[in-house]
Amino acid sequence: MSELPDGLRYTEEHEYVAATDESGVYQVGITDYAQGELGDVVYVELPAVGESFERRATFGTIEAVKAVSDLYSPVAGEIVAVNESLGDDPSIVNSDPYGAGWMIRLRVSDVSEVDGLMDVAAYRALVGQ
Amino acid sequence: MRWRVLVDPPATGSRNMAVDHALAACSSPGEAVLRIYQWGRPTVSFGRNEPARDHYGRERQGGWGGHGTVHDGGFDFVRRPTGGRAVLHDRELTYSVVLPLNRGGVTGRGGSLRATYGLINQGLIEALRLLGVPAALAEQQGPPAALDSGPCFERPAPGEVIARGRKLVGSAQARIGRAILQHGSLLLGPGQERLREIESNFASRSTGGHPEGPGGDGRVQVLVAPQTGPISLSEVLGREPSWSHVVEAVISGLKQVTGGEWQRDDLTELERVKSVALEERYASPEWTWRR
Repeated sequence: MSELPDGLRYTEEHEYVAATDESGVYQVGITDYAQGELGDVVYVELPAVGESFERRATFGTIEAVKAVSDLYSPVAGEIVAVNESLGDDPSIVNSDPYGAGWMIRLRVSDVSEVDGLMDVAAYRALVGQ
Repeated sequence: MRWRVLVDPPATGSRNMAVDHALAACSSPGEAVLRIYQWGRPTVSFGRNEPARDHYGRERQGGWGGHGTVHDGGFDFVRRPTGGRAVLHDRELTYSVVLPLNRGGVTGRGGSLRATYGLINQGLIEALRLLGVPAALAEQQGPPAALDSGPCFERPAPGEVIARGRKLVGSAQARIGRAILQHGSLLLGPGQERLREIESNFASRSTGGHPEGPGGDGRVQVLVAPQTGPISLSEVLGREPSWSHVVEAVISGLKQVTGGEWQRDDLTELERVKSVALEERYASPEWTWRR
């Protein structure tokens, strides 16, 4: 059973969105369910700070031992930080997806888009847990 | 689930990758695709994120740009849309399977990336049984292989198809939009060790060293230990089975495991147009040598 914290927002592409201390800035990563499906993560490619993405635009890629998947921006926004440590140790995505394994921080263009994402109950239903 | 079966003639690496990608990009709910194909020339394919420049690349006139696929000693090079490491496509049957993802990332059979991988590999084991080859799924051996840890066939990943403990089928996946693409190589004959020759030759030119083994007799030292490297159908069976025999076995094996309605088909017009558009990307040196 995957760890699916309350208080986060989730997407059908298995990204999560978490509020940060800074208003309008949200942290994005992949869910525990997603990392479990992918298996041992060996590579994460992330964008540069300052780049902007539309909702559902590809912002990077993640590769496990065999499977590759694009990473999709859950909402529109500008990248204000990327997790550089994933370049040295991408397996953090497996061990701590909601903490040290975060991927990007987005300054969100329209916060109401975040509210429109799935809550934990909806995401649990989506993945059958 | 309705299954379309495409058996294609040999094509270039860029064409083959473009068609696989197009089939996934055009995937429809309730419909799966099995494609079986060959390569017009011996071709080395790299994983989507594999650092190929350091292992197989070379500085060319005009930097990494230039024309189409790059030739070196009779090989073409292409970069796949899927993960994993380098494969030399020559004496093999290549398959691709596209399965649609429903909302939430599960396939119509209630599977997922991982379940799909298991399902297809079980189908391949059934295909091999029909060919008289006892095969099994590999178990985890040590830590996961890094992207720069050498050719794909040197070591089976967990869940891959092995015979006599050695890798017989190498497969990789990608999630493309709302579909899973899995493709892979079933080795019909030997030859994967030539990948290490290409790698050694490049390393030699890069460092000014010599690729020869300790004997210095001009023969390239093969670094793959025989008991852990690849194995081919011809090695297991003592002869190389006919192409049509293997094709029918792969179709039958997957059909037995997955069920559903199966029928031979061709690319749709939408898939054909999409594949032509994607072929430009897969033929470009910028994509092939992006890392």
